[in-house]
Amino acid sequence: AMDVNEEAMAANKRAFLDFLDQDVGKGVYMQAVRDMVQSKRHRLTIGMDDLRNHNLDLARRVIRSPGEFMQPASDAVTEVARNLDPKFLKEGERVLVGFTGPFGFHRVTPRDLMSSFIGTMVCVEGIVTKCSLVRPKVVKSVHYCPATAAFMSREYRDITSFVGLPTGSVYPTRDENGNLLVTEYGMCQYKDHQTLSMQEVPENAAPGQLPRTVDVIVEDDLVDCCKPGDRVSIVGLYKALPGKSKGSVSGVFRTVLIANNVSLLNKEANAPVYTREDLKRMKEISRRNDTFDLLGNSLAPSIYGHIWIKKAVVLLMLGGVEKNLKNGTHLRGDINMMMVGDPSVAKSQLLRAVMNIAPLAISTTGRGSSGVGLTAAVTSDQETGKLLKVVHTLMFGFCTSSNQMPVSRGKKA
Amino acid sequence: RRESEIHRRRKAERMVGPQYDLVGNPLGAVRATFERAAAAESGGRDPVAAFRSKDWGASEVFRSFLFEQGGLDKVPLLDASNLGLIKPNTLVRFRGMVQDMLGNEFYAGAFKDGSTWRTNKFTDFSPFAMPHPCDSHLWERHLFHCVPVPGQNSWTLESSPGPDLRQMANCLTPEQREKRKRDGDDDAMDVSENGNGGSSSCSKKPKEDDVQIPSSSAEMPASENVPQMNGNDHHIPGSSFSCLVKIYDMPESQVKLNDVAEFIGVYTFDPELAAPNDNSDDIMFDLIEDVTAQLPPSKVPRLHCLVWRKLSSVDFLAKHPAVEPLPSLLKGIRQSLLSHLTLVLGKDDLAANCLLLHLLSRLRTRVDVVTVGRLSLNFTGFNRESVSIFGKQLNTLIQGLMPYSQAIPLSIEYLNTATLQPRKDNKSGRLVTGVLQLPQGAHLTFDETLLQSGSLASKGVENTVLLKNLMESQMVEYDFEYYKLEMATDVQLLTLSEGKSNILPSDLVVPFRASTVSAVNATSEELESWRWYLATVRSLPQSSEPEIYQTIQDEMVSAMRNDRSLGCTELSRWLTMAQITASSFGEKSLSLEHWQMAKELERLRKERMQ
Repeated sequence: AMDVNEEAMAANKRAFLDFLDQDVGKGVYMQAVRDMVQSKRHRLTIGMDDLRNHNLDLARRVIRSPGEFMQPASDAVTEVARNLDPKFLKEGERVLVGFTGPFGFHRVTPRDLMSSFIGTMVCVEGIVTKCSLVRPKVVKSVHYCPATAAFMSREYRDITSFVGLPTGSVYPTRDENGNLLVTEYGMCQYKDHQTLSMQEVPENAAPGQLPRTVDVIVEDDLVDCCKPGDRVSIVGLYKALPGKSKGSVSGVFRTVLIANNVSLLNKEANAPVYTREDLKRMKEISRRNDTFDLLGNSLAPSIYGHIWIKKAVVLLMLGGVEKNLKNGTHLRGDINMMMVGDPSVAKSQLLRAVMNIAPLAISTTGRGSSGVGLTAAVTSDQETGKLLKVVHTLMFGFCTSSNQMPVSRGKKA
Repeated sequence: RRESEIHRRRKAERMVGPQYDLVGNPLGAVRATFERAAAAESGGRDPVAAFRSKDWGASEVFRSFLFEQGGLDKVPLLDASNLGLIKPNTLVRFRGMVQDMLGNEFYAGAFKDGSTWRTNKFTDFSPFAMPHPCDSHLWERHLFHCVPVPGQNSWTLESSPGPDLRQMANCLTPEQREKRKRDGDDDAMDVSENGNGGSSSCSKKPKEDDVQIPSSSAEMPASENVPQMNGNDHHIPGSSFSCLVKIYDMPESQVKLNDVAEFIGVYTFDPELAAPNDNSDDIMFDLIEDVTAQLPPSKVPRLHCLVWRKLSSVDFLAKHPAVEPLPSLLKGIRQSLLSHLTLVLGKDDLAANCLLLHLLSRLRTRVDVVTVGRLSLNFTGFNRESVSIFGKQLNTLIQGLMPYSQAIPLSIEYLNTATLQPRKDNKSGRLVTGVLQLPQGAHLTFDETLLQSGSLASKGVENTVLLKNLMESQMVEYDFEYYKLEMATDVQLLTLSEGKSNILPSDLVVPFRASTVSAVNATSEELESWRWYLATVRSLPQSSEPEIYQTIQDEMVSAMRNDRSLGCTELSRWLTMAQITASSFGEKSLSLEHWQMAKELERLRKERMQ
């Protein structure tokens, strides 16, 4: 039986190698592997559509019995990555595979997870309501026996492993002859592990029903990818664990989703990822003579003119360099900017353009903003004696404020 | 008739065999029907595959026994006082409200032991050791966390008392059976299932290490096998106990949160499950918390449901008279109830009439935020003194008439400290209940005369907003931490205040003018007839002829012309009052007479407001 299994695994691995390499001649996935290696990530995301286009039957089987494909897929990508860059992976390290793309009937909510989905791959959408701490989980322990001067190692597998039967988690303390063993912690291998709870989104809950929850396990690079309150879409294997009571099977099963891909559905989560091409082009631009003009003109292109204002805004966003002088003076590297001008000269429009570019930006008017998130000081204007509110920039972000209003005495910001 | 009874009994016996005691050994019947059905399934090596999510005949047997052969009265009613007395794996009944939904549980529904198929359905722990590995089928059951209905009034317990456990030797735990033998014919031993205070316990004096049960005054002996009260569960403060009900073969959407239902099934209590989970080999169990681990079998009984049904007010009535709700009959009861209400309210006719309409009101339809049929009532002109007299009488009466009711003292302190809003605790995965988690048909009386001047903290403000929303749109927002979930309700709201309430905008505001205080005593027959009357009238359909509607519409239009301040709220209320008036006479169709009566009531009320 073992041999048949290994044959099947090898066949599946070949199927994936075909997919990665052949790839309808476009080489998209080889490029993706290159990008992954270059950015030192250890997970390749495969789109189901691409897999379907390559081999419909394979795609179907991957969804219906993913347990047979996860390990071979990982083996295939690891091999490709090693061939591309032998130094990329350390001894024993591997590249993991995640899936994305349309799942058809297997795209579900926590409520839809019936027993028919157990053992298959599903894509579940919901809100994260609980995140456990990230804990290291031992994958392989290495022990040294002083008596025989021999090393022995033991592997540990649980429900998240795709091959082999689950093992216990008991550490060996003696070898088979009864000699004491010392654990070599430095040589042991660990894996990060975290459990999440995901709840149905409230919009889908039927009247009179409470939203259902599903437990999710995330490991390795997927830990800490989301926090409670985030709306996410998680792709993974839906598995059942037999319940245990005093060592024997109790007849009750717990179910859990073993994630291989987590995408945040929040709008803010769409941070850009830069490819090698992008970096190459950025370096090209920096070598030009007119870079500064180019950047200035590219800011808010729909606003005509104001080139010096735009250049100033570019400098604001880049920021300066913080200096600590020998005499102890500390010079800040940030620049603040205040635009003054007649109404309708596009001051607010420029602010809005900054908001679309800066990764963290909030916009506020002087009135109505609470003290939270803003640091402000009330100073008196030298000439008029009126009190003015002056707004400073925030740490790590940009604060744009329109229409400074005179503030009454005693009003705190 | 006797012959048909004998015929039915023989038929049931043929199905199960007379040796199966459905109350004392329900699992025996389950197994017998399973084996029979599996044998009958023709062909294939997997005869039980077809049984997934279906009843192979077991539930049918019980249904027939309970409802066609009068077996219902033989099944003990599970409550706080007899939790420890009922033998595990016997049949029980539990009446309660669905307080929380804990999702699905997958279990090994059927497995092959050698050459025989066996089932785990309706149990928590496999009675036969499951060979490992074996052919098995994974089935699902739904978990519902149920509590005794909040505000349930004691008269409801008389309706279905269940058998005296003393008589049911086979349903007592071994300890109790021993005691019974020892104590012989001691009359002091009255194990009543009503849970009323005052009934004495099985043992004459408590042992030193006995657990005092907070809910009833009865002292029960404790042994290691007796589930202790889980009154300390902070998710359900105020409930004396709860029950984890496991329902099979049913789409989950049939049961809604806050439904009141009667569940009949196998009472499970397994010492093996009660033992703390050993530090199991698999570290997975330390990392994924199971919600049901917070409800250990040593504290929370489980009920594997064979048969269930939703309960309405009518089901709580003592005798279920199959009487036609004829108008002639209803008119008489209406009159007697009205006179009693008038007495209770110090001979204030107007107030009594309005109170009657209020007690008969229920939500008929809901379109977006508009609710039709509700009639919340605010009696103004109360002070601390009159509340202590009339308010108290009113409260006693309402407790005697409505199946579930609560009196809420609306003081500043209450508003600032009470937990009205149910909240999901995402760490534990359970719903923490609040006062406003109520079943359909509950009645709340607010005493606003306690409201002194003071300041409302932020919680107080939130609570007033919740109450206002409850009154205006019959919706309660449940706090789910990252979002709010709105749950629809249908509760009757009565307020007693000095001036018109600022916090609770009732539909109908009536200045209270009592003239005399009278001693009011209703006989139990009267109370029973009034309860039947109220429950029946509320369930009557309402309709009206198009011509009547036209006339009413015309009158409304002219009224609006005369008084510009009238809006759709008032007009809607007039129509509701008229329709309830019609129902109160047993009429299913609104007539002009009823419309005139409602208008007259309005006129008198308006006069008084001036």
